[in-house]
Amino acid sequence: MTQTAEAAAENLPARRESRAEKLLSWLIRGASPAASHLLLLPAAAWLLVFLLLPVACLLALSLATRGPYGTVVWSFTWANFGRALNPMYLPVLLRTAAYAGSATGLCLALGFPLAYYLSFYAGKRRETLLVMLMIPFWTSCLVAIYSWMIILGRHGLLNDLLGRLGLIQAPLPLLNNGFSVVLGLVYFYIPFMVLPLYGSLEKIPRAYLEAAYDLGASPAEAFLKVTLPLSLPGVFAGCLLTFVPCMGDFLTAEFLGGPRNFLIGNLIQNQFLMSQDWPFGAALTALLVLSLISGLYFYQRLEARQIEP
Amino acid sequence: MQPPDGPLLSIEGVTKSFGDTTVLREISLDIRKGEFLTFLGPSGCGKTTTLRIIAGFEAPDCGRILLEGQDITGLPPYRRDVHTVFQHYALFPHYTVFNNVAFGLRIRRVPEAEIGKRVREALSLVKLSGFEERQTTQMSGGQMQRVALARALIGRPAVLLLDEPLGALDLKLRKEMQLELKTLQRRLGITFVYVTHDQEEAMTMSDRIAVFNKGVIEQLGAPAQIYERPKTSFVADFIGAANVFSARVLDAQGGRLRLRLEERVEFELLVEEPSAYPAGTIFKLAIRPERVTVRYREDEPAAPGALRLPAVLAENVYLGNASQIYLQPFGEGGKTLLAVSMDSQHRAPRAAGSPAWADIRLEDILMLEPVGQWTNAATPAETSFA
Repeated sequence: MTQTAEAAAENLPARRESRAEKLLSWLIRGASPAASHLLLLPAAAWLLVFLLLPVACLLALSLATRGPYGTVVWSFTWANFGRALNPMYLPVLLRTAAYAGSATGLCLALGFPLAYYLSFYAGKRRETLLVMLMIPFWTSCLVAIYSWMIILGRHGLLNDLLGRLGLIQAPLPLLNNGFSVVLGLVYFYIPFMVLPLYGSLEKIPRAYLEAAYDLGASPAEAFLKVTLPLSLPGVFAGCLLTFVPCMGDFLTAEFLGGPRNFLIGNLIQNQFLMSQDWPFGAALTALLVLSLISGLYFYQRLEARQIEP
Repeated sequence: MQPPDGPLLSIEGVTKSFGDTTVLREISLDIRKGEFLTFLGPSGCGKTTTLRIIAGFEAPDCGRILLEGQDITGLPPYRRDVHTVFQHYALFPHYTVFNNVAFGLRIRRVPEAEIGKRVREALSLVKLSGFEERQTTQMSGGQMQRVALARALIGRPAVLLLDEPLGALDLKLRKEMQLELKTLQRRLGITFVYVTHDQEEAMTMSDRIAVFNKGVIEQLGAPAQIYERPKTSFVADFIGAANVFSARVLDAQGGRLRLRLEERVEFELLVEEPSAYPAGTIFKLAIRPERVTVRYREDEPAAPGALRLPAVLAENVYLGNASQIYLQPFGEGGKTLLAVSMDSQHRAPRAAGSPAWADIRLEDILMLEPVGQWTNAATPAETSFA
């Protein structure tokens, strides 16, 4: 029986590989380390052309001077950085950090219970709820912002409703302040918090919790000693993914923050679009990126530290 | 062995269903203080569910669990004086070995000095002294299993539950750990309830074995009892190998049964309770392969009172330490009788089809459960044995 099968297999004509198939096989198999690195090529080329080169240009730009009528004069100077470090801009930076920090904290406070529910109790509804979480991504950012303006405005939906219910006498100042900016940021970035949290909670084998209960830990103790420490990578990732884009945000502040609540993002945007001072805008950007990167570095050091029992 | 104050742990009429599937049907069982009791059975037989009900991870649909006479059915796992060694260890990956083992004591707010002492004791008990600061993620399966054991033992539970703890280890390590576990259990005098699907493991370690099948306990007894006197064909077949045949009771008189084996061979058998074997009923019976003596010459004398079945040799397999001889005592197409022998005469290959005789001592014929009534019209349904 097996003999005939083998004989039949031997008689089959060898299948010819096409040239494209050969090339693909050669790439996929990773026959040599050099060949397998070729897989990185498309992404690397993309990042080189559209990220590294612009950043290099930006850095070069930050050392230039603004000419008359917003032109760029290529002279080597640190003057832009001197201007950017002017204490005048410090409140803007602090305000940005405060808003981004509050938004991140709020996202965590709202997102953790949500992620916990999704992971532990949602059951069959999990998929539906996760899709609902993504819905804000599907609407245009501008549409969402205008919707918030309609809701929060002085004569907006919320004030109107509260007034009709007799809960307030005069309209509440809901728009054009820190509250509205943080609210917008939370609205936009909460999925970035929930998804990593959900992922890390989902990865915790339930047997760990059973082991904790088995050894006498109450649900609260098991949560504090097992679930929480094991979800920390998700907390870190979620905080990063929320805080960093919040720091660079300018749309939310532009539309929901009013003139007095502009953030570092708005300041930078103004240099490029209004003041036509590209070198100064570039210096501000470079400083923001630098401070974020150094912040991240210390954050990761903190994360890498072993969790004490 | 049984202390005067009754069983340590009692399972009373426990039933459990998951959705439409009933996994346990009115299980009742008493566990004695200090014994090594094994739940043995194939996957899906309910043994792990029973263990999880004792631990408190599952609530029974009805029935009670009593620990030292107290009803603990409604208690959450963290209020029960039982600890579990989990199948895949379930060691906390963010803690060192020391902190894993210390977990239960820290929960109970034991002073740190005592924790240190007891953790070192527990680790030396499982031969892991010096591993305190190791990360559990860097350990081998055997070492992780020992940490899990130390972690569960350190709280000195009334009952230690072990859920297939050796399942993930390779065979050699498993054998070592089996003996070690048994020694440890004797030394500490802690009651072990052990779940496994490996009959050899169960035989090696247990004081008593509860054989589970399809949500019921088929038999409970000492390993020798389970092996020598199985009550059902499932037990006979699951523990060790067994030839399972059917036998019709022709006549039961004065403790002596007249039986017709596979509707071919008639013989008489002495039983203790003849009333349990009414005439006309078909029973299963089992014969252990190592209790069958194979002869190739008819004039060789059989043991006194042995049943001699003339047969034809179907196959002879030499395994090194023993030989397997497959005989056909019930004609072509009939059931095969397997004999296992260490006798050197079976080493030489012998042509299939040669005549042979199987001698079976009557006390080695194990009467099992009834399978039905004999009707003249039809031959009894074939019963297969794996």
